[in-house]
Amino acid sequence: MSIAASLDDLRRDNPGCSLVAFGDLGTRLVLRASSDAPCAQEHYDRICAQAAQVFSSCDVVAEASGHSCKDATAATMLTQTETRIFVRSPADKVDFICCVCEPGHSSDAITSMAATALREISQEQKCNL
Amino acid sequence: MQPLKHRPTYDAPCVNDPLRRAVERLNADLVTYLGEGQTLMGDMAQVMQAILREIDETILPRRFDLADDSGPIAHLSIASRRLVRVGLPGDDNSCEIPETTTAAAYFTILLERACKAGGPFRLERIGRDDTISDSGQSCSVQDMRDALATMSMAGKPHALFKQIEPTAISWVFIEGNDAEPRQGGTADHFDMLANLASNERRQAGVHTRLAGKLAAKPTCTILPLGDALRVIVASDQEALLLAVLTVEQVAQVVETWSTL
Repeated sequence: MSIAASLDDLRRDNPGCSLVAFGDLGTRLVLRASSDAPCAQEHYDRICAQAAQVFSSCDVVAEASGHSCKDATAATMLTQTETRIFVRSPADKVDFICCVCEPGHSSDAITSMAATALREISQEQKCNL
Repeated sequence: MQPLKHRPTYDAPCVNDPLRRAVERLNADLVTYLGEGQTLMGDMAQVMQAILREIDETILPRRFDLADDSGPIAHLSIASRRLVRVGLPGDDNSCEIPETTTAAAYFTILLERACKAGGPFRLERIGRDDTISDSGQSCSVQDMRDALATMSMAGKPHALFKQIEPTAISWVFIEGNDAEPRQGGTADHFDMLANLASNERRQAGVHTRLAGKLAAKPTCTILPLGDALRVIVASDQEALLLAVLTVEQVAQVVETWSTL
C-alpha cells in the first residue's frame, strides 16, 4: 500500500480526524498528508516543529526516569480547538505521523492505528530500496 | 486541457469574498476608498473584527487610525493582506516588536492597550502608506485570530493546577519567567520534572525566536511514563505546569481541559 493510501485510510477510519501527516523529524518536513481541506505549508511547518518539541520532551522523560526512549513513541497534545496525536517510529525515531482531530477525540485507537501505518510505510520504503 | 465551454466565467460567484473585495479595491480610486462608511464600534471585539476585515481586504499599502472621541489612539499600517505595523501615539518604542514575542501577539497587546479606555471607536482610513518596508515582521488574519484565541485562553494551566494538585502523584508549577518553581507530591519525580521544565522553556524560546509561530498558545501535552503513568505539560505565556498522573487521572484531565 502506498504512503498516501495508508494516510487516507487512517483518516477515513477515524471520524473527527481532519488531517493525517507523515513527516521526517530529521529534515523537519511533512512528506505526505491526507486532509479534508487544503493546508498551507506554514501549517505543516508548525506540525513538524510541534512534533520535534513533543518527542524531545518524550526523550527527556524517558531518560530521566530510566525508561527506554524506544518505548516513548506516542504523545497527545490538547489545544482549545484540536487534539493532536503524534506517533513516531520506534525503529528510527525519525519518521512520525501526526493526526489532527476534533477536541476530546480518544487517542488510544488512533495511536495504535497510526503505529500500524508507520510500520506499513517503513515496509514499503524498505521494499522500494 | 479543459474544454473552453466548461471553464468558469469571470462573472461566476466568487467563493472567497474577502479576496474578491480586495481585488475590487485595487480598481477603486483613493477618494472612493477613503469615503467608504466608517461605523462606530463599542468594544475591543468589534474593533478586532473591523481590523481583521481590513487586513483581509487590503492589498495596497494603507494607513489607518483607530480613534475614539479624543482622537487617534493607534496607528496601523496594512499591506499585502498583512498587518505590518501598530504604533501608539506618544510611544515611539511601541513600533519595535520584541524578540520574545510574535508580531500578532504584540499587535494584539498594543490594540488592547489602546482600547482600554473604552469606546466608542472608529477605524479611519488615512491613505497610502509609503513608509512600509519589505523587511520586518508582519502578520496575517489567521495569525491575529490565533493571538486573540491565545489571549482569551490565558490562565488555563493555573485552573488545571487547582484541579489536579490534590491528587497528582508529583507536580511542579512555575508562574512567570523568573519565579521560583513550586512543587508537591512525592519527590521521586522532581528531578525528571525539573529537567522537563528546562527543556520546555528552552524549546519554547527556540520556537519563538526562530519560527515565531508556536508562541505560547495554551496547550496540554500528555507524555508516556512507563505503562501506568503519564506526564502532563500544560503551558501558556504565563505559566508552566508539569505533573505525573495515573492513566485514569489523565482521562479526567482530557475532559477538564476542554471545559476550562
